[in-house]
Amino acid sequence: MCYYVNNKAFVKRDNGDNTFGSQTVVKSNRYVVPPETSYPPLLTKIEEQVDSAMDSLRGVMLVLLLGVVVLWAAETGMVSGFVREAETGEFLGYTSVYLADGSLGTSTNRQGYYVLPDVPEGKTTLVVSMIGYEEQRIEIEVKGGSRLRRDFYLKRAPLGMEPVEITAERARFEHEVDVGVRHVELRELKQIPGFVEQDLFRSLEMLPGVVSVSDFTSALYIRGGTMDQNLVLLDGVTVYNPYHLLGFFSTFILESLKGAELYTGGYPARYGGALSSVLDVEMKAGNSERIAGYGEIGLLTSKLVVEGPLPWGAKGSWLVAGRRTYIDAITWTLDKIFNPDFSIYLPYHFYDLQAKVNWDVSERSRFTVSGFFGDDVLSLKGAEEEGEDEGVTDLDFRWGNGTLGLRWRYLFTPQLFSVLGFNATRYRVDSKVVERNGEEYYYGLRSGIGELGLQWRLSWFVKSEHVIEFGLEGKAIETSNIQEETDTVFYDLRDTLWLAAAYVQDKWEPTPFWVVETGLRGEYFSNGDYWRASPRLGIKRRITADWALKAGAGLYYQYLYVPFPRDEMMLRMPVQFVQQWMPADSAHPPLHSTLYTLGTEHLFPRDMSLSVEAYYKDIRNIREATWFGGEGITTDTGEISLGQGYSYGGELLLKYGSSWLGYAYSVTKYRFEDGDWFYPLHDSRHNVNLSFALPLGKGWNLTSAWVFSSGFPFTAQIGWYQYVDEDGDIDWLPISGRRGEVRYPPYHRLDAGFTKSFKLFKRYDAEFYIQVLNVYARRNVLFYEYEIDADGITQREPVYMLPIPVPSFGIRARL
Amino acid sequence: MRSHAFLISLAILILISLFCGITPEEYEGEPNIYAILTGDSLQATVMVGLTASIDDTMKVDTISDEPDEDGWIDDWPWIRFPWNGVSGAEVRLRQGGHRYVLLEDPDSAGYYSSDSIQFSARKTWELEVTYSTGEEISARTTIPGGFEITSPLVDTLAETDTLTWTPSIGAAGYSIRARIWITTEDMDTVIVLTYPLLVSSDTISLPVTEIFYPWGDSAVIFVSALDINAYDYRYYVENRWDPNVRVEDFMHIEGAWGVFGSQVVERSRIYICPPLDTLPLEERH
Repeated sequence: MCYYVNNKAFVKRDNGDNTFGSQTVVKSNRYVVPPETSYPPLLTKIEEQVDSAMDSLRGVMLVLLLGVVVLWAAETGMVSGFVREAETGEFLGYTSVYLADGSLGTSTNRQGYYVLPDVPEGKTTLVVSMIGYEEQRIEIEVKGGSRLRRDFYLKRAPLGMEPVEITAERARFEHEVDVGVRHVELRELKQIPGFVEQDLFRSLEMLPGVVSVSDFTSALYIRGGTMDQNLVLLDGVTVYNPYHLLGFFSTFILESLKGAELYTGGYPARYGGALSSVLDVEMKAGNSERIAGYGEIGLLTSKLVVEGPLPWGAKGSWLVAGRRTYIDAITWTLDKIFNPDFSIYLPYHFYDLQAKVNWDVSERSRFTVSGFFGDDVLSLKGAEEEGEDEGVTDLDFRWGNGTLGLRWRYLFTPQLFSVLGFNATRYRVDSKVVERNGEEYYYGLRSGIGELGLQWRLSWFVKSEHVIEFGLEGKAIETSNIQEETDTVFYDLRDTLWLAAAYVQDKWEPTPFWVVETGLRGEYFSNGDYWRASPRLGIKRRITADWALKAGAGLYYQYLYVPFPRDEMMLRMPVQFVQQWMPADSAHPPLHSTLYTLGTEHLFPRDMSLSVEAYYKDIRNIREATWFGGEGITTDTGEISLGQGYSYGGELLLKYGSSWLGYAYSVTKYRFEDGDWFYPLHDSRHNVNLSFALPLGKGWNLTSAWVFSSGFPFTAQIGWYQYVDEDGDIDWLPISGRRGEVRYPPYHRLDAGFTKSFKLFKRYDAEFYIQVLNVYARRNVLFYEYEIDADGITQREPVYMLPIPVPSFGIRARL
Repeated sequence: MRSHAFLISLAILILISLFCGITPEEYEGEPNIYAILTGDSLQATVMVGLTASIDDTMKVDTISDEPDEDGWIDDWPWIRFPWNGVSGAEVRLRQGGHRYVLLEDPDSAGYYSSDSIQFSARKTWELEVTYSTGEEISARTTIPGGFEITSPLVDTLAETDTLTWTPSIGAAGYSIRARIWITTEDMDTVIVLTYPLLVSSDTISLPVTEIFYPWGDSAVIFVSALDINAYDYRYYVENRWDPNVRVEDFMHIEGAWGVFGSQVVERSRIYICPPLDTLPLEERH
């Protein structure tokens, strides 16, 4: 017997026969399935699927009409609720929920909530299914006009159990437009070997369309945009500079995260303020069933995550995660042991603290508080200086992020879902040098950006296939840049800016084959008094059960930016800890981009999928810093030049289980003022990413990641001119070629790691890992140095990024 | 089968990527000029040459890992390059209705000179160069006005003294340097020419301690008032590491790299510099 809900997502073989039906059967106003019995060659398959689709289409039209008539005639009730993981209480997004007779089905949203509004009166069986979890079925009795609340707690499926064929990917495929969206789960993030440890941003670099320009920075360049054009959200709160150690690490503790969605374009109207991408990172809610923990001891960092249910019988959960590096302790120890000629002691460390508390006040109401605090600290006390100015110098540099988010989620009715939130975020740099040499000299540099904001979102589940979302946002943004020394203030720049936004977003599945997402976002920015409207549109058309076409277009505005440095080397070096976020003003209108995307998706059996997208992006009002390479702070907005750019390309992502192959072709060009068009440093023409995980048996696993980028552009030295100094001596000085005209050699690197699972103290699941960055010691060029040797020949000496394999190891355990 | 398709796709993508390099720019030599006219002088030299591609091999005069004549090792090994000159060019200077043709030094390729032209302050001169290969270069300069050093007007210099001078009309900036005579512990005399200090035309005074390093036994100070061409030539080379600077945008010379500028030089009296009490002798040097 076959059930057809959510397409062929689940086909029950209750007759013990593995034969799939050869006819498409439609029993509801929902989905149609062209079943497959084998995997014919691609063309035959497409032909069959198109035929099947056309047959299905005719059938669907007829049955839709009948279905609508029947549904109108019948009394119906509503079933709604949340789906969670049984062991942790974590909400499960994109889980399929359907009636066992196949007449009606839907999937949970990202928050794990579902609504089935038109369940026919009478007794029926409700089924919840998700890959990796045991299927759950419950009997329900629906009365006309009734509203039933049914929450589910899914247990993880034991190993060896035949997996349910419904995947979150299929649920998204059927119900989401997902133009330019990369949904990355924790397990996928964790399979990418990292520098010292796995890292969210380093993992995202493995996705097509995402470019990293150097080993020394994890800054992301997405579809031609610069790093400041990415909006990074942690539980809905903006994180302005999410890097540690000048870009080697991102600020997020991976094990405290549930997952991340990266919108590389075409993001919906609820997001705004960034031209290129939105990275929406979600922290785990915490285990609401039992106290649990996770610990990891690595070469340079250690971390601990503890989570559990709320005490005193309150419903809810909490999670606390911490991480600290001990670079300072290790280099101090090595310094003492080996006592080298030059001290290798590095008085630097960073730490992170993430916490979240959820309190389910009632079935309708939930409060959430989440926060993140992390700092980099470089602190040197009483360094002795040699020479005539001998004295004592204290250095104290601190920079980091802090966020706080409060959320109140309330279900007015099963169809009306409200979230009221308060956000606070800040990124600040506080550095000071104090010299004591008889007199005390003080130098200080303080810089920062902070936000306080309110937001309200109302989601109205009109039908299971129609959701309208309204939202209001308002925030005060403060930027400050202060440089001072003893008795002198060089500059003290402070700005308070206001940003307000309202949006409406409509996701509608008018037929089982169409998903249409429209949106309109209106924004007001106080600096310059700008009113802007951003329409958004996304459409998906399913051609067959497994194949869909999609398109998207949108207009995007950005009001705060970090100027693009004219010195391209600034982009290849570690992220500056002093980032000057500058606001749009009356002389410099907001940055804006228009993005058009066209794509196709295909789901294959065995958890395999293919996504191909092409895009064109027009970028206006981008900024370039014309002071010294964009380094440091400017007090003069006249030192900003306006520019424009465009980017186009195609991306392919072939996923197979947790492994994937990505390819991206892209062209990006910028132009500032009346200058020539040029290829910026992040214009990577071809990108290949391969992430591969393989179980080796007996608890061993191989993880690997290979990345290839055709050469990044740079401004090359092409010649020399003669300069005569005041003494009449002749020197040859460099002549630069056209900006971004020449390319470095291709960049490629293989990272690999092994993990071995075992029981720690015969009780806890534990894993030993060893990973190696740059396994085959690829010497990727960072830049070139030119020098004329004694024979009068120009020597071009490359300076490399990580030229050798970099190993790291550690142990982690789940408690 | 699918794994084969996967590997084949990967191989194709890698091959595509490997053959997608961009050919580096080709560059051939361009005209390169050097000429600074000095007010109240009869002598002028215009150096006419070519720039070089990074693929060219430069001529090298001398190579040394010894300190240079100023006592400093600029680079190691220290390479002295000859002027990459071009023979057979026509070099003309014009002022008012007068036209002067400069002759090439038969012993030094690319050096064109004259020692019979009177260069006076506030006069505008035009340079015209025609290479034998046809390239034509033109530029103009106005020699800055004369000026005077107004202090210190003493014979013995103190650390607290300030060098001041009157403004030079038309000067874009000044280059200040000192020649210092120093007696070493071995009782040898070393002459040090300090690195020129370049200041804009707003500055007409400087503490002598900013000019003098090291402090010596006696010294003479030179102040050169530079026209905009000569000033930018020095200034933007000193700041060439600034990626915003395209030095070629500040050469004020059409069709060539280099400079055609002018200066007026004033020289102070010879100052006696008594030993500083605060530092031991060896640290003064």
